[in-house]
Amino acid sequence: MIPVDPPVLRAEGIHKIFPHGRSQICAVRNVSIALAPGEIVVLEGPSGSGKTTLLSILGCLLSPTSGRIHFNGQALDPRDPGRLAQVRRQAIGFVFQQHNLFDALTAVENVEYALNIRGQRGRAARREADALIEKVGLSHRRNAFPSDLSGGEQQRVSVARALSGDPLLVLADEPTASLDWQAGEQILGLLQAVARQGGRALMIVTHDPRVRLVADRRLILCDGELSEASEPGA
Amino acid sequence: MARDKPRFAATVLGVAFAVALVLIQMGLFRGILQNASISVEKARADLWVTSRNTANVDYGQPFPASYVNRVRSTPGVLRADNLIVWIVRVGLPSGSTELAIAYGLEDFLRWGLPWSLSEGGVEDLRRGNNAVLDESAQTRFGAFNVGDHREFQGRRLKIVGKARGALSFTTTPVAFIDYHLLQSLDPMNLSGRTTYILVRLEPGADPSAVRAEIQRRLPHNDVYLSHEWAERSRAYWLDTTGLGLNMFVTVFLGCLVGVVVVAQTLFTSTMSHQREFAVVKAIGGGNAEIYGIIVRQATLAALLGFSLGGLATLAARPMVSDLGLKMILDGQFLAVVLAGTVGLCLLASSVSYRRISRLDPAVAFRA
Repeated sequence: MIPVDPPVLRAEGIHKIFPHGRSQICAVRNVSIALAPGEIVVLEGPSGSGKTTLLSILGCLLSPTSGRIHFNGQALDPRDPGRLAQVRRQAIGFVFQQHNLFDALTAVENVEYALNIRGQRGRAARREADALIEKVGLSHRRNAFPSDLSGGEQQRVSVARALSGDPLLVLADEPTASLDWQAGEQILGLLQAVARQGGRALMIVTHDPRVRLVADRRLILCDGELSEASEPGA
Repeated sequence: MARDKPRFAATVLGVAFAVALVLIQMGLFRGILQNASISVEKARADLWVTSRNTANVDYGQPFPASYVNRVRSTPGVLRADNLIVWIVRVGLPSGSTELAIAYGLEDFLRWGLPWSLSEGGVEDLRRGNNAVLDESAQTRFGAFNVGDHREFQGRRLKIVGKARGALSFTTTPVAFIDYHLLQSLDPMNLSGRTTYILVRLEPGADPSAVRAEIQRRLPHNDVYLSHEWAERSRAYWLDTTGLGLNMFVTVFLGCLVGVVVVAQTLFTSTMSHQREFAVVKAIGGGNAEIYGIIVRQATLAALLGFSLGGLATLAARPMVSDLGLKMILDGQFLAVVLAGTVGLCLLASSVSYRRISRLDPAVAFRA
C-alpha cells in the first residue's frame, strides 16, 4: 500500500556532523525523506551507519547540522528546543530497544505518566491508559511493575506508551531485538496495526528480516547516506 | 528511588542522623538557655530594677533596700518588693560544701516564686529558719527529704518544701529563703540591702513610661522590662561561654552531613536512572517534570528522615532527663527544623537537577 496523503514528516538535505577531537565525523549526509500517514518504513544499515542519529533527528531529539524538517506541513526551527519538545509531546511516539519503562511505575502508570506529560490528567488519563493497555492485550498485567513483566510484555507496554496522546508518527528502534521469536511476532503485529488502523506513519530501525515483510518501503543507511531498496522484502 | 531500597534507606538514615543531631543539640541548648532566665520569666513582675550593669539574674549586686520606697511611690506602680538573689554556701552531711543560689523574698506567693512545688509549701518560709530547695539539688547535694536540715552559711535550716524546675544556667541548685533570713545569713553584704526590686504595674499603665520614671528616680540603677532582663541574662551566657558558637558549629555540621548524604545519594540515584530521565525528555517532558520527580524524591527523604530523627530524639529524651538536663522541643521549633530539613534536601537535589537538565534526550535511544 503506497499512501497518497501529504507527508507527516518531510526532511530535506539533512546533515549531521559531530566534532571528534580536532576532526569531525559526518554521521548523516544529505538525507531527504518523507513519511506519509499509515506508511511503514524500515530503516536498515550496519552498526555505526548513523541509524540512531537519523532516528533522533527525525524524532526531534537531535538538531541537524543543516537541512530542513517539516512536520505536518510546518517547518521546524531546530534551534528552538521548546518547539521541538512540543512536537515530541503532541505528535511523536517512541518505542525503544530496551523498553525504557519507569521501574517505579506499574504498566498502566507508565502509560498514564506519558499521558500526564502530554497534558491529560486525572481520571481521563487513567481511563485512556487503561484503554491503551487493553489495546496491547495486557489488561491482566496492568498493575505489574516492569521487573515482573517478560521482555515481550514490557515492549507491549512501551508500544502502549508510544500510542498515548494519539501521535501522528511512531519511531521504533530495534523493537524486536531483545525479544524471543514469539514475542517479536506479537510486537510486529501490534506495530502493523498501529500504522494501518491508526493512520500513523511508522519508521522502524531494525536488523530483523521479519520486519521487511510488513514494510511499505525499505531504506538502507550506509556511512550516513540513505538509499532505497527496490523491494521492501528483498 | 523508593524502590531502590538500600540507597533510599541510606538517604533517609542520613537525613535522620542529621535531624536527630540538630534536634538533640538545639533542644539541649534551648533547655540550658532557658535555665538562665526561667526565674525571670516565671516571676510575676513587669519590671526589674537591678544595680548598674548587672550581667545576669544569678549575679545579683547589692544596693540599698530602701530604694524600693522610691519605686513604690512612682505613678503606675501597683506593687514593688525587694528580691535578693545571692550565692550561699551549703554544708552537706558528708562534710563537704556546695554552693546554692538563694532567692529571698518576703512574700513568695505574691510573686509566683517558686512556680512549682513537688512537696511541702512556701508558707512556712516566714516561720523560722526554713528553706525550700529545688529537687534538682539532689544531683549535687545528695538525697534529701522535707524535714531534713542543711547548713546554709553555717546556719541549720529546715527544708520545708521541694521546688520543681527552678534551675540555673550553671546547674547550681536553687533555694528559696525568707528575705530577712537571707539577709541575716550574710549580714556583711546584705544587711539593709537588696539585689533586685520586682515591680508590678497598675492595669493600663505604660511600662515604658513607668520604667523611665523609675530610672529617673534611681539614676544609679538599671530598669528592665521583664523580657529584656530575661534576654540579657541569656545573652550573658551566650557571649561569655562560647555556647552560641559551639551550637552554630554543631548545627552547621549536622546540616552539612544531611546535605552531603542527600546530595550524594540523590545524585547517584539520578545518574543510575539517566535513561529514564532521557525518556521523560524524549516524550516531551520539560525540565519542570524532571525537577518535579527529583523534588518529590528529596521531599520524601526529608519527611521520612525527619520523622525517624524526631522519633530517635523523643526516645533519647528520658535518658537526657535522667542526666538532669532539659531538652525543649516545642511545636514551633519542630516546624522550623522540618522546614529546614525539606529546604536543605531540596538544595541538595539541585546538584542532580543541574546535571539532568543538561541531559541529551537522545540518550534514550542508546543501547
